Amino acid sequence: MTATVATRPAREARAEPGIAAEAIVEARAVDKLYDTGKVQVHALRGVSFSVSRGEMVAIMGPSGSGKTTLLNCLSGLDRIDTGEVLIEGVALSALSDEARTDYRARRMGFVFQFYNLIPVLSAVENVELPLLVARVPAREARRKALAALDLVGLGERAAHVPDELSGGQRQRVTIARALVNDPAIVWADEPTGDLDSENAEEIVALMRRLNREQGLTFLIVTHDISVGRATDRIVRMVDGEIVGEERVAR
Amino acid sequence: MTKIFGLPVADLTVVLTVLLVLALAGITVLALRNKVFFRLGIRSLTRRRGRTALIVVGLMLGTTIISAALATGDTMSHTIRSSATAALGQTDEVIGAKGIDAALASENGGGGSTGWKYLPQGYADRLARETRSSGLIKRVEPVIVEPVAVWNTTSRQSEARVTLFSTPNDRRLGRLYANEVYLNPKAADKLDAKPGDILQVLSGDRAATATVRAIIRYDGVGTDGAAVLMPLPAAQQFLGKPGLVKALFVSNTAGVSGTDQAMRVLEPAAARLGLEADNTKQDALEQADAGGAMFMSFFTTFGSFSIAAGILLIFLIFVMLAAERRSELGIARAVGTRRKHLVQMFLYEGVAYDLLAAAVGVLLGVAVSYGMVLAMVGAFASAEDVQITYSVKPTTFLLGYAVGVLLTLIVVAFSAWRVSRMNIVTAIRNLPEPLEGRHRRRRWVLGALGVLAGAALATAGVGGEDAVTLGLGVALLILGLVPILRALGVPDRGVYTGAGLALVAWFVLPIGNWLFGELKVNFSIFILGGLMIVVGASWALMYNADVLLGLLGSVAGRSKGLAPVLRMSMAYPLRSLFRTGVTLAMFTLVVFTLVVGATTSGAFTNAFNDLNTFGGGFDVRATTSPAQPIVNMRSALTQTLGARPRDFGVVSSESSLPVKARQLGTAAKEESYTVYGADTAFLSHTTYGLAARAHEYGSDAAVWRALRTRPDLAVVDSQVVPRKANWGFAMLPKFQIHGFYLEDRTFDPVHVSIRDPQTGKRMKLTVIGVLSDSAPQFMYGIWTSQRSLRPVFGDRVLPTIHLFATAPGVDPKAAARTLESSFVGSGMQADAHEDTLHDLVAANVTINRLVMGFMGLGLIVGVAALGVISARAVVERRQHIGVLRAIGFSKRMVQLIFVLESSFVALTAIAVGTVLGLVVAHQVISDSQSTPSWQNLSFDVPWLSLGVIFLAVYLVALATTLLPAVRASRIYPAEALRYQ
Repeated sequence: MTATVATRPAREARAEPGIAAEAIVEARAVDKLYDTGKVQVHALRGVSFSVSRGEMVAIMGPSGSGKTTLLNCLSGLDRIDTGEVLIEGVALSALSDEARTDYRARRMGFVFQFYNLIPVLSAVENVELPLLVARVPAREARRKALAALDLVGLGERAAHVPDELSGGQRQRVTIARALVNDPAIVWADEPTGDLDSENAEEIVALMRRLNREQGLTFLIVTHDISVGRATDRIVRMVDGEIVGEERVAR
Repeated sequence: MTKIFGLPVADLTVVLTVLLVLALAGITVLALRNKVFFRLGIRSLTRRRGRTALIVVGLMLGTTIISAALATGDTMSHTIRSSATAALGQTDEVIGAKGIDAALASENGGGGSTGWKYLPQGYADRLARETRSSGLIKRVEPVIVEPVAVWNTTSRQSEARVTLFSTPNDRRLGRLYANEVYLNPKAADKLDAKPGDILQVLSGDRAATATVRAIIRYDGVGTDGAAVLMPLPAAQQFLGKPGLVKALFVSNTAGVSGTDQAMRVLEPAAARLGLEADNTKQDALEQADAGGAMFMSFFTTFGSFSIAAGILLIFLIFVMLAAERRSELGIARAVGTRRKHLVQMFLYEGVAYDLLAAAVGVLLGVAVSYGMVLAMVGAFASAEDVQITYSVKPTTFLLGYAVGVLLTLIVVAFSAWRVSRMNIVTAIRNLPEPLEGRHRRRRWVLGALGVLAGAALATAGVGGEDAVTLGLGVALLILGLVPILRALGVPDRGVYTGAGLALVAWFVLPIGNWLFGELKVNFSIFILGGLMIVVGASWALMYNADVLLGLLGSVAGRSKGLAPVLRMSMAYPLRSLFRTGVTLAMFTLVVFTLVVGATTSGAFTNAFNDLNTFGGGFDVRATTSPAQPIVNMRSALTQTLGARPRDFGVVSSESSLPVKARQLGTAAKEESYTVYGADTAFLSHTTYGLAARAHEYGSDAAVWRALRTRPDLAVVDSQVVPRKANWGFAMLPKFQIHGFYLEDRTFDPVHVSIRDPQTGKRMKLTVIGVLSDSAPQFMYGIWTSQRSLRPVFGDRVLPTIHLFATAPGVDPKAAARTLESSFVGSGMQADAHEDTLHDLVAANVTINRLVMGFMGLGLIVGVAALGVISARAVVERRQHIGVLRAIGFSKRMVQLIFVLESSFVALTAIAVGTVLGLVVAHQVISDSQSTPSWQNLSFDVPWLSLGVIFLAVYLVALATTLLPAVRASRIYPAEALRYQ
């Protein structure tokens, strides 16, 4: 994989009207404070940022810079204190917990660093779970889940439980689970963080392929520059703020 | 109470306390030598206070049940002791005419023997002089203790049976004028009397008028019931016994503890006067302790299932604690912590929970027993003279605490040892434990030991015709085969399903009887069978749960909304077979026992509640004072003012004589028992059924006819005959006959000798029938014809019991009231069988409910187990909950997963426990129906009460589960995902 990175200021990127018009996700002046009672951590400080439909974006930055918090807040997994998050033009704050949950079930996919598969379910059962939640009939759910596993190259491992799979295989199952319900966007938090370089490369290539072939939008939080280079754009964060954006040239 | 489970309480308390102190001292020394591990061990107590509370609740239940049983035993023992102490006061021994010990031992509701010999009052001084030099005897009091009737002319209340008590040397009695009496509070209450009231004291034809001087408390009047106290000369004159007394009451210098020594002095001295000494108080207290022990044993036996469930819960809690910390412990081992240190850490934590839980458990047990005693007070409310008073000995607290702590400590130590055997790598990575070579060896060794022990016990069981030993052997054999088959590589599903079904089949079906004929059984088979049936059913269920749940999923999963929730709620229990199985077993065990208990006890109570069986053809039973017997009742009815002879179709009379009896042709010694002499009317009319008959008699009627037409034949009650099936807890009489079992139904006639100790006269009786178990308690004794007794025992066997069959249209209750008022002078007490039976059945129902409630304590164990599992599951699956929420599970769906999981365990246990319980109850009832005693048993399931109990338990179980589930669902997904 070859790519070059073109750097430009973050403020400039946010001002670009074209991106805002096609934005699938948009954050406006988002603030997030963690208060443990003893310590207060300002995890996000007035973050404004957007992702276009079909785009593959990487958020990078040092540990504690607020990358995962941003992903959680944008995807509705966590609350924000101030600001606004719009998904497909709808403000998350305007949705009830039930509606947000339903939206996640129908329009989002998640990939986590530690796979977070349900250990008591087989690979295919893990993959079909979001479909069942979205009330897809069981047979159709199974068919789609098997197809998704085929897509990530794990069709033959469908009946295996996570304990019986390698790290790379588990992450593929997670990706299959994330894309099985034809999501508008897939959120990936350190998807290669727990993998060796070979497996990491395979997973990144897989995501890139899905982005290109199926037009899936990816927002990936990562430490790994090689992952960042595989995306369309890299957003850099430090201390809860976006400090820069880089377009990846190919 | 002096013994529990056949072991002396005092010794057991000392041994267990010493063991407890040694165990705690050992743990303290270890903690002091390695304070770091101690701190690591106990830090979990304060880290999660809510869970610590839940664990303490789980651990304390076993102690609660044991303590409640012990405290109930204490109370019953204290109640009976109080009754004896109130009746005897300072009196330790009683001296009277020969046979006084048999007379005192035979008080079972009979009318008492007639012709009791009085003795000169001067014998008291003589005896005191003769025994003074021993220094053992403090006082010898001449007394009159005689039943009389009393009528309060002021309040117009009468009481047919009041004890007249007189003694010359009491200061308070000395203050009375000749026409004055004292009443004790019970008599005052019954007669509605107050000082100044005028009483008529009646004894047959004799009557005396007396004024109530005062109501006084007076222990030692020979009864704990109603008493009237009269100056001795007045009593002697009233009874026509000038210069005579009925007995001598002896007090020891050392109290009842000096009885053995005192008896060695009193017996020869009494014999020289032609009298007999009886260690009355010592006997009464021993009886009280035996009674208390019986109650304790009754409740511990019925509570044993709950105790077993409690032990399982303790084990489950510690297994889950170990599972929770597996990675942590694996890392600790990886960095150099030794196995023994892990064991110690777990022990410290376990002991901390244990000490706290056992203390709370004991206190709660005492509170539970208080509730049980209150219920028993209600049950015995109809028995006016039984006053239950709550009392718990300090040793009970100590014993309950020691048992609770040690029991938990053993389980904790085993769990800790089990934890320490982990594979470090798999523990750190939280993977399943690999099967190592040493495990295989252990399986072979354990299996071989089980099979060998099982085979030996089974052989012994067949040889001894003992179903319990055989059952234990078969169970061990099956359990032993399990590890062997697993070591041979047979799949777990096949091994556990096969073993489980084999256990259920053996203990549900009468396979032992089919193979080896009728075997001896006792209550232990219920405990052993119950445990094994539940273990077997749990195995068969858990190892096929995927199939069952698959079916359920394919049906319920068609609902699109339910499908993902069902998927999750079925997946976790199937992957945690051990914890699901243990919880299921706990719950099933308790449900099973409740269903068996409620169904069978209900069936027996209903069968007993049969007026025809209870009355034996009669409607009213009356007893008169032995001092004033009515020899010809039919004639008395026609001659007595107010009596209505036409009310009665049949009038029969019986005598009762305390005797020394023994079976001839055996080495048995003479024991006290009661012989009843029935008149022709009784023997012609009675319908009391027989459980066994001598070979030559073709029917029960033929036996009664033989008693009527031929002399010296007898029928005995079923308590004195051995039986193969011993389900009862009652204290059996010492007089027993041998040579056949009750279940044999027919037997060779048995010869017994009876002797009247007062006159020394004896006779031989031939037993040709055994009364059915359903005969009422007042029929317990040796029954023969009055025609046989009278020529030998003369005036000693005048009738004091009268049975009446009322004429058509006559109300037996009204007839009983008329009889009492007509024959008040004879101290007649008459009761309609209908009333007596109603009171007995009501008491029975209350006791049954009490036992059910006690067994139901185990349901709390089950609910606590579900609570512990749910709380643990929420912690364990916090990250998974985050994932589920991330992929679209709503809060309600997350809650529903936990609720369905608990429902799966609770509802399966309720269904399986109920089905198995009903099968076993049906088996028990069918078996009993084939015996002559219980042919009228019917299989009626108390659906309503069981339904209400189970619904309540299910709802509480859901509530226990819902709390952690709601908490879990409220966690924000991002927060849950961060949790490691």
